[in-house]
Amino acid sequence: MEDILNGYVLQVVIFVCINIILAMTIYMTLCTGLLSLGNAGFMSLGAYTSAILTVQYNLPMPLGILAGGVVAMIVGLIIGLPTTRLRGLYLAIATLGFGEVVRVIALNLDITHGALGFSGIPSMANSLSDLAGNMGITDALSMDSQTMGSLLMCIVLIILTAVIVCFWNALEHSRIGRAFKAIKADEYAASLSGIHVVYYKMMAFLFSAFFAGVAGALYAHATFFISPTDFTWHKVVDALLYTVFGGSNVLWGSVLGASILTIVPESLRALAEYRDIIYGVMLVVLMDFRPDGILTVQTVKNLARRFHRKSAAAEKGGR
Amino acid sequence: MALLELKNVVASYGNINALKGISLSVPEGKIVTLIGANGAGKSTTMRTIMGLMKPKEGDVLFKGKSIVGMYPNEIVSHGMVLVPEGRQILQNMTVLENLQMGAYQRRDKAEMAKDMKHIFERFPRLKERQNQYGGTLSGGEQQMLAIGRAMMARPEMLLLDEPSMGLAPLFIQEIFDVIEEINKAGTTVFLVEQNARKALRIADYAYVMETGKIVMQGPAAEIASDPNVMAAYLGGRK
Repeated sequence: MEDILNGYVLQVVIFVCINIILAMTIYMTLCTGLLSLGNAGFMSLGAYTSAILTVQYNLPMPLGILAGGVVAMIVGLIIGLPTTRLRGLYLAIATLGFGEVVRVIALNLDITHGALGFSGIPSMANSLSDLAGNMGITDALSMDSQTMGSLLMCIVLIILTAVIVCFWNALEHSRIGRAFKAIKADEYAASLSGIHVVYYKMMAFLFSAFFAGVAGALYAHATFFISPTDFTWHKVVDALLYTVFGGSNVLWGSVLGASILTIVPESLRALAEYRDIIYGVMLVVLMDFRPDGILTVQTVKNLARRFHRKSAAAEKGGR
Repeated sequence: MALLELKNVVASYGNINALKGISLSVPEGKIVTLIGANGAGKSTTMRTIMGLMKPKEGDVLFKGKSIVGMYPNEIVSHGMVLVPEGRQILQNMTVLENLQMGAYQRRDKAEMAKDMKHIFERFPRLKERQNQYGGTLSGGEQQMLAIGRAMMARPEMLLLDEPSMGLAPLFIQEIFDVIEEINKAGTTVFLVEQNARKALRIADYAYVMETGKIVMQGPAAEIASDPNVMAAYLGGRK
């Protein structure tokens, strides 16, 4: 138990969760066929917003994180109005440009401490461990407060990620989700079916911006230090890889892709400089054999069918 | 009273005027057809009516009100639906989902179920394949699905853009039968066709279009017996 719960493993789990949320923000816009790459920019907005509010205005952390998401969404609205009318690569390039603009602004403002980076951001793990300490849980479990904090943060993040996954899953199966699906399948046919294409695209874009902002804020409270170099276009490419690797047509693809591509490089740490080679080879091999990513609509269907059959068989056997 | 009316509509792709001042009207309850050769501007006319293109000049009136500048979804909510050219169905969605998409703006679940049942009765093939992806259907079945989807919106006015294109003769007859039935049930139909013979047989009134202009119009029977028509719709001499 002590081995599994060491700080390093917990740290990896925390980043897996943040990366899953980030990968899902890419997936959310892809749901309507939009390839938006401004997520690093929204993440940066969320991170700085929450950092500034919690450090300089002593706002409680949950409110700071929420505010991070809201600010990202408001900026998303301003950016989205002109850009969601763009298609394909044009949108990708416009939003990528937006991300760079945010980075350069963060680099030059005083309030963000420019290139020096923003340090001393309250740690979510510490405040959770303080909370647990006050309640006497830490002593009762005879754990040191640092591990306790990391563990609690893991739990909070896992729950939060699960909530977002469930939320998006429910949305996909609703009337709105059907509109998303139709727009992705054929924008023209969708508009002729009476779907307000721009409205739904904007909705997906805003959700994506909001959750990217939340992911950024969580990142800030997980690392206590952020600088503009944390949110370069590299970050977006990573997020896009998670989604494409796992399967960009299903929600679970983002979850799986982000988990694998966060854990694998960590577990290959011993190989030092060879690890990027292995990472690259993995991507090339996968794209060669499964161009749609690990999970496709069909695999998810098959798995679900098998699962149902198994549980039905188990029920029969039980009786 | 004319349900749909185009007044001197000019529309262009860049510098090229595809419609050079089109005026036509579709009276309520009738089938009106617009025939002409490839490139005459028939599909552009449809796109302009549905708000997929903005006219440079002129006006489009639906139920006496201008619909220029509206989004396609707003026009759908006013009661006009287009079955686009080339069976634009949703390939990656099932037949059932495609039909549900057609009724996207409706909330009356019971009536929707009734319409769905009616469509399945009319097109038993669609019922058999309701859980199949739209893209796996044959051309004729896809066209039926496209028409079925439009009917799910319960339109007052149905626009059809070349519904017979690329279909086997047997399917073409079926499609035209369906269009007549839809019209008899009370829906006004505006039909764009290259298959002039068939279109003129079911239509009440016809317009002949050539290179962006209406060159001839009149009751369908009259147009059908006009010796110039065949030449006109083949895009040749007048």
